[in-house]
Amino acid sequence: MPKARRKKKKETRKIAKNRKKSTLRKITKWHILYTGLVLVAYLALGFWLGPEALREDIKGKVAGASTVLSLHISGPPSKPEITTSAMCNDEQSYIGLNWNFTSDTDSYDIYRDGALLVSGITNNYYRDESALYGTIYSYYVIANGPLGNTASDAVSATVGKCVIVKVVAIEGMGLVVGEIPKIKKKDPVFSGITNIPYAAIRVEIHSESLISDLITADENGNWEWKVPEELDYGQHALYVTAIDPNDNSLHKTIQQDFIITGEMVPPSPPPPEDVVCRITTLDNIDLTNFRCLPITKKKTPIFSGTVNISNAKIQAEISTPSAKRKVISSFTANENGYWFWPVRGQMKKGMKTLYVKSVDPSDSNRFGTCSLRFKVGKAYKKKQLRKCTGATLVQSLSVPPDYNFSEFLDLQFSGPEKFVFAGDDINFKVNLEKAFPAMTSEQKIVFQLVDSQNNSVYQEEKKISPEKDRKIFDSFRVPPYVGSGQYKVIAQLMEGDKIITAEKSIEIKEKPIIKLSSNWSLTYIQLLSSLGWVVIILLSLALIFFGLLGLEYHFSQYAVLQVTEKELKNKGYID
Amino acid sequence: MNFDINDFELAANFVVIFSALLSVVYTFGIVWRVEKKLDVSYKFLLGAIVVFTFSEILSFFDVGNTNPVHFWVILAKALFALFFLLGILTARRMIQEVDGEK
Repeated sequence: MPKARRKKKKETRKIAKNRKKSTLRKITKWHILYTGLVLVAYLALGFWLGPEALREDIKGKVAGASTVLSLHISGPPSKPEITTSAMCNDEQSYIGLNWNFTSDTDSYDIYRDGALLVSGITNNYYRDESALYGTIYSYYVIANGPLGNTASDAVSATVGKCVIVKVVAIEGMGLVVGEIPKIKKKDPVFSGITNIPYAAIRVEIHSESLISDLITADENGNWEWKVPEELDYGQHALYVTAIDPNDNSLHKTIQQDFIITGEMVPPSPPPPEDVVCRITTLDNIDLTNFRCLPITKKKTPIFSGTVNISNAKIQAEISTPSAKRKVISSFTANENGYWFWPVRGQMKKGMKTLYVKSVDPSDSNRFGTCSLRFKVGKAYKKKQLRKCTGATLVQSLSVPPDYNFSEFLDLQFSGPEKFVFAGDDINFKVNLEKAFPAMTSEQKIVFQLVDSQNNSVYQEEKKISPEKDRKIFDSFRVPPYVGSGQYKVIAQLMEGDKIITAEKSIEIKEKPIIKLSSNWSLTYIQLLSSLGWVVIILLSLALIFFGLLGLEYHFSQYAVLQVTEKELKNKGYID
Repeated sequence: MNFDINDFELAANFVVIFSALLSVVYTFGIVWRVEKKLDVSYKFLLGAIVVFTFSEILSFFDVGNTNPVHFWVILAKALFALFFLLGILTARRMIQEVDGEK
C-alpha cells in the first residue's frame, strides 16, 4: 500500500474518532448494542430449546385468558351421529336424514351445504324433499341445548334413482288430484309421463274383461295409449307400470280410476302461480304432520316456513277475524328458501290468521301465497297432540285472491354489507313512504339487533316527525362483546294496534386486531394462541433492522466529512 | 393457476414494509455521513419515511369502520407528505445555492 494512501486512511480514522458524538448517537449506539445482545441471547435459547419452548414460555404469561375460555364451553349436548339414505315416495325421491337423540338437547337444526335448511326439529329424522337428482349435498345437524350447541360431522348424500310414473291426461284433458275424471268417449286416449327415458310401460284396464298392452315411453319419458276396444259406461281402473329398461327390478305401478259418461266434465284449472309457499312450524308444532287447529300459548309465537326460491322476500301479516291487522313484517328467506319469523309484539288470545306472501327477489310479479289459521290460547295436552299428529295436510291454505297485503317498511343496509365486525357501526336506511303515506303525528321507531336465538342484544328508540323523516338514514354500533354469528336488524313502528316491522339479516364477526390483507387477519384469541411465533418473527425482524442499522452506523464512522473538489474530480463526480 | 388479488395484497404489503424499513436504515446512514443543508434535507426525508412506515404498520390495525387507529393513519400520511415536501424543498434550495442561482 503506498505510503500516502496509508497516511490518508489514518487521518480519516482520526477525524472520525475525534468527532463530537451527539447524545442521540450515544443512546442509539448503546440501545442497538443492548437490544441486539438480548435478542441474540433469547433467540439462541429458543433455538437451543426449540421454538415450542419459547411459545410455551410466552403462553404461560397469558394463561389466564385461556382459562376463562375453557369455562365458557362447558356442558354442550353430545355430538349427533347422522346417517342419510336415498328414499322414494309416490311423488318424488328424497333424502332421509336420521340421527341419534343426544343428551341435554332441546331441538335440532339441519344445515345443507353450509346454509340453514330447517330449524327447531324435535324428532331425530327429516326428509329433504327439495334435493335434486344428480346433486351431491352435504348435511350436518346442530343439537341445541340450554348449555350450548354441538354440530355433527358433515355427511354427503345424493338422491337415489326412483321410478315415477303419472297419468297426465285423458283425451287431452288434464287430471286433478283427488277427482275421478269423467269422459264421454268409450275408447279414450291416455297420456302420461315417467322419469325413465324409453321405459317399458305396461297398461291394464280391469273392468268386466282384462285389457292389457305393452308400450314404450319416448326419450323424454312421455307415453300415450289408446284403449283398443270400447268400454262400457261406468267406473274403470287403469293400472300403469313403468319399468326401467336397464334394470327390471326398478318399476312402479299406479292406479288411475275413470268414469265413462255421456258428457265430458272439464277439470278446474291448475293454480297459476309457480312459487310454492309453505308454513311448516308454529312454535314446536310440525304443521306438515298436523291435522288439528294449531294452538299456541305463547303471545309471541314463532313461525317458520319454506319457499322454493332462494332469498325470496317474505311478507307476513297476522290479522284477527275482524280483519283488523295487528302485525305486519317483511324479511328474507335464506338461500335454501327457509325462513323463520318470531312475531314481534304481544298478541291477544283468540283466533288469528297468518298470511304469507313469498316474492321472487328478481321478479316482483312472481309470488306465491299461503296462510294459516291458528289460535293463541291454552295449548293442547300431550294426549290430544298425539291424536292430531297425522299425514293430513290441512293448514297450508291459499290466501284468497281478493286479500290485499299491506304495504311494508322498507329496510335496507346503506352499503353492500354482508357482515360487520363487533364494535363497528351498521348503517341502514328505512323508507316510510309506503307503509305510512299519510303519517300526521310524531312516531317512535325502535331499532333492534337480535341474535339467532331471538335475544335482543341491542335496542335504541328514535322519534320521527312526519315532515322530515320520510326516509331515515341511521346507524347503531354493534356492542363489542357480541359473539360471531347470524343476527337480525329489526326496525319496528307502532301505530295504534298495528305493529309494523322490517327485518334484515347480517353476519357479525369477531373483530380482528390485525389485518394484513382482505383474507388474512388475526383475532385476539388467534394472536394469543400463536403468540410465540409472532414474537419470534417480530424479534427476528427487529434483529435484522437494528443489525443493519448498527452496520450502517459502523460504516458511517469511516466517513470523510470534508470533501475536496480534487477528490470529487478524481472519482469522476465532477468535471 | 388463478391470480388471487388477496395473496397479491399480502405479498405487496410485506414488500412495502421491508422496503420502508430498509429505506429508514439507509437514510439514517446518509444522515450520519453528511452535514449542513444536505443533512437537514435528509433528516426531513428520514422523518417522512419513518411516518410513512408508521402509517403502513398502523393501517394493519385499522380494521372495521369505527377504529380510532384510523385517525393516526391519516395523521401519519399527512405528516409524511409534509416532511417529504420539506426535504425536497431544502435539497432544491441547496442545489440552487450551489448552482449560483439568485
